[in-house]
Amino acid sequence: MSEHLLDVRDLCISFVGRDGNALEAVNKLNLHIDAGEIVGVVGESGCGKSVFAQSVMRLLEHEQKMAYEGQIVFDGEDLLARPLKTMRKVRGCDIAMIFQDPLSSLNPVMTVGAQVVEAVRAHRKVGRREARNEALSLLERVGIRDAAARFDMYPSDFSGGMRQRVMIAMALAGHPRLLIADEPTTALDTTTQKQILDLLRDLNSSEGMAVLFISHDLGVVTSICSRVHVMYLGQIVEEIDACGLMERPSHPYAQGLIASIPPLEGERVDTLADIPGTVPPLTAIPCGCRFAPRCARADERCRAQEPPLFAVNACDRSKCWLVEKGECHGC
Amino acid sequence: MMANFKKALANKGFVVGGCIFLAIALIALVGPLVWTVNPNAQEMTLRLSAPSPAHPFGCDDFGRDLLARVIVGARVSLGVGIAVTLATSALGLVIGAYACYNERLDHILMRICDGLMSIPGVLLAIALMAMMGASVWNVIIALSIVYTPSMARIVRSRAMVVKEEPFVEALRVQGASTARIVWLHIVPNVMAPFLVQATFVFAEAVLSEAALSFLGLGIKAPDASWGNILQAGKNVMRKAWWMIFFPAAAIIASVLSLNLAGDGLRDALDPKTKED
Amino acid sequence: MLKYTLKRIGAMVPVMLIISVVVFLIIYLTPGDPASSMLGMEASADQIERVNDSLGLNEPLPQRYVEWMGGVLTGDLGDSYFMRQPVTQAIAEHFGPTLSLALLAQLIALLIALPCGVVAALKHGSRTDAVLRVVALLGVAIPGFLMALMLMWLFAVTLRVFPVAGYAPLSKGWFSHLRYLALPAISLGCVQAALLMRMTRASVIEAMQLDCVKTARAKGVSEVRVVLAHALRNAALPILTSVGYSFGALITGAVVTEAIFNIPGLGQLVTSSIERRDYPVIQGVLLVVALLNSVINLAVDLAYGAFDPRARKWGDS
Repeated sequence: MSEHLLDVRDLCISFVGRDGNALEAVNKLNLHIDAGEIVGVVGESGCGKSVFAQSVMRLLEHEQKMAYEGQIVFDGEDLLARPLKTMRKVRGCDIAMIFQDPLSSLNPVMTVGAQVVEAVRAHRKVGRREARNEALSLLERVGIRDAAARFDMYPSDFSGGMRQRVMIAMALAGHPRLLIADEPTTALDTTTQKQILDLLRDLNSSEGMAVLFISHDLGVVTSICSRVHVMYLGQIVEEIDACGLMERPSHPYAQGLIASIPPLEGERVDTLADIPGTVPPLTAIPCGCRFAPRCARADERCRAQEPPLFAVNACDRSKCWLVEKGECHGC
Repeated sequence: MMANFKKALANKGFVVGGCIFLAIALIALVGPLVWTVNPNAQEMTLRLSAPSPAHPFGCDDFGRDLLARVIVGARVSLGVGIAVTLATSALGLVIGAYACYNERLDHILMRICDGLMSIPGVLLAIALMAMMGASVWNVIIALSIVYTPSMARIVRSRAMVVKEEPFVEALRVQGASTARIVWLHIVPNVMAPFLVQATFVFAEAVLSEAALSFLGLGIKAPDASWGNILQAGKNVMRKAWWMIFFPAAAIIASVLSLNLAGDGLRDALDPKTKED
Repeated sequence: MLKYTLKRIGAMVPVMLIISVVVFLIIYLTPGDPASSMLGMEASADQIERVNDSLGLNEPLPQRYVEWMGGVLTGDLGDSYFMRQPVTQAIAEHFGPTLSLALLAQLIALLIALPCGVVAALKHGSRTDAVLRVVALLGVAIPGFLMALMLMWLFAVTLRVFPVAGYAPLSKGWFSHLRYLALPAISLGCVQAALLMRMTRASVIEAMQLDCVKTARAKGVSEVRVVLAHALRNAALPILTSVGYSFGALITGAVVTEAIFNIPGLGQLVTSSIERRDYPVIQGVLLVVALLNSVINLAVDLAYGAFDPRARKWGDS
C-alpha cells in the first residue's frame, strides 16, 4: 500500500529506565523516503535525531530497554513488528548505517580489511578469497587508493576521512537500498567533509541508494539533501525542500537556526542572532508547543495547545499555529 | 566532601558493608566487657568440648573458651588492620603526593615501589616476619611495608593528573608554596581513590594477618588471633569443626563487609576507576 | 616493536637491582645466626666463629653484597647452609610442585571466571548477574587458606574423596598427580576465579558499550560474533593483564596452600628455611620469584602489542 521505501508513521520512542519510568525521546514522528532520495534530519544535539536514526535499525534495544509506538515501514514491512533477533537480516543488507566518529566506530583491534570482509560475509556465504577480493573492490570503490597494501592495517593507521570511507565501504557490502548516515561528517575537517559528501552523492546517483542524512549542520544538510526535516525536542517541526529551508522557513525555530548561521560573505555582523533560552531536558518538556517558551512570537494558545503539522504548501509542512493564521513569514 | 559523604550513604553496598563492619568493631571493643570469660584460662576437662550454653562457641584444644578467644582475636585482627591502614595511608599520601613534584625523587621512589611490588605480598611479609620475629608490632610493620607501594602508586597517579590541572598551574604562578599546593589542593583531590584503596588495604591486612598467624609467623599462642585459632583447628579438624567454623566466619564477615563498603565507596565517589 | 621491547627490558634492570638490594638487606638484618642453628646449642663460640668465617659472614656488608650479586649474575645463588646443596638446585627441586599447583589453579580460575564473567556482563542488571556478583564477592573475601581448610574438611575429612594432604609428582602418573593437587588447586583457583570474574565482567560490560560493537550490529553480524569477535577481543586486554598480574597472588596463595596440604614446593621450602635460618635459600627464592614475576609482567605488556595495534604505536613514539 505504501510506495515509499521507508515510511515512518507516528513513531514514538522512549527509553525505559530500571524503575520502569519511560523517557520519551521521539514523539509522533512522520517521515518518508523514496528510493534513490536523499532526505535530511537536522536539529541541535539532544533533539532525538540520533535516537531516531538508530531506531530505524533497532540498534538501541541491545543496549537499553526501549518502548516504541507507531510503525517503521520499510519496503512494505513494519520493522517494529519483527522479532529483534531477525533484525539481523535487515541490517547491513537492506539498510546500512555509518556513524559520527569513524575511529571509535571501527574495531581498533581488527584490521580494516577483516572488518570489511566481515561485512561482506555477514549476509552471503562466500569463500575467504572471494570475500577478500570483494572487500578490496569495495575499498577501491570508496576511493581508498592502494587498498591491497592497506588491507592489513589497523584503523589507527588511517586518517579520519579514510576511516569514514572504510565505514562506507562496509555499509556498501550488502548493497543496501537505504543508507542511514548519522552525522557522518561532524568529526571531519572541512575538506574531508566535502570529499565524503561527494562520495555519498556519487553513490546515491550511481547505485540508486537512498540516504537518510542526519546532521546538526544546516549547510551540510541543505547541500546534499533534497528534502529536510527540522527536529526540536523529539518532534519534527518543519519539513521543507532543501532550497526552501534557507529561503523561506516557516517555523520560528527553523528561522532562528538559520539566523544564527554566521554569514560567509557580505557585511561583518557584530552580533549574531541566537535563539533565547536553552533546550529543556526530556524530563521537563513544556506543554503546548514545545518551542513556545523560547519563541518570541508565542501567544497563549501556543503555550496551551500543541499545534499539528500544518501543510504550508504542496510539500512543505510546519508545526506552528502561525501557519494556520497565514502569518508565517516566507510563505 | 559533605556531598561525597552523602553520595556514599546513598550506596546500598557501602551502607550494608559499613554497618556489618561497625558491628564487628563494636563486638571487638565492648565484647570482653560483656563476655567476661578469660580467653587464656585453660580447663583440661573441657578440652575440645562442643558448643554449649556455657561455652557458645565450644572450647579449644587447651579447654579455653572459644568465644572469648574469637572476641580477643577480633581486637588483634582489627587492631592490626587499623594500624596498617593508618601507616600505609600516611606513607602513601606523603610519598605519592611529593613524588609528583620532583622528577628524580619520583623516579627513585617509583622504582622502589615497583621492586617491592614485584615480590608477592605474603611472601615478602613472611620474609620480613622471619627477619623481625613474630609479634603484633612486627606484623604491623611488615604489612605496612608490603602495602605502602600500591597506595603510593594510586595517590601518585591521581596527583599527577590533578597537578596538571589549570587551577594548580594558576596557584603555582601566584607563588603558592609546594607544601601548600600539595596539602591544600592536591591531597583533597586524591581523596576519593585514596579512601577506596584504604578500605581494601584494611581488608587485605586482616587477611594477611590471619595468613601469617596461621603459618605461625604472626601472633603466637597463647595470645589469640583468628589465624592461630585456625592453625590449632587444622590439627583437630576431624573432632572439632567449631574451631574452624567460628574464626573462619569472623574473617569472612569482616573482609566481606570491608570489600562491600569499598566497592560501594568506589561506585559512589570514583565511578571512573572500574574494578582493576 | 623491537624498540619498545628493548625499552621495557631496560626498565626492568633498575627494578631488579632494587629487588636484589631489598632481598639482600632483609636477610642481612635478620637476627639469629645460622652458625648456631647449624651446629646446635652446644657449639662453642670458637666453632661458631669458624663457621661464620667459612660462610663469609664476617666480611663488610657492601663487599658481601657485591660478592653475592656477582654470584647471582652468573647463576650462582650460593649454597644452602642446612641442606648442603646449591640453592639453585634446591629451588629447582621444589619448583615443580609450585608450578603445577599454580598452573592448575590458574586453569581452574579461567574455566570458572571467563564464562561466568561474560554471562554476568551480557545479562548485567539481571538476577543471574546479581547472584554471580555475590558469589564473586564471597570468593574475594574468603582467603585461600580458609577455602583450603573448608575444602579439606568437606572432601578429605568428611567425604574422603581426596587425600587430606601430600603430593605425588607427575612421574607417578597423571591420575595420582591430579588427585593430590585437586583440593589445593581448587581452593587457590576459586579465589583467583573471583578476582578474574569481576575483572572480566567489568571489561566485557565496558567493551559492549563500544561504538564498534554497534557498528558490528549495524553490519548485520550475528550476536555471537558481535560478542566473540568484537566485544571479547576488546575486553581481552584488561583480562589478559589481570591474568598475567595475578601470578604474584597465585605464588602468594601457593605458599600458604602448600603449607596446609604439605606439598613440597617453593612455599614449603621458604617456611622450613625460615625455621632453619637458611638465609641463602630464602634470598634465592625471593629473588627467583620476583624475577619470574617481573618477566611475566613484561610478557603481558608485550602481549598487549600483539593484541592491540594502538599499544604498539604508543610504544614506538
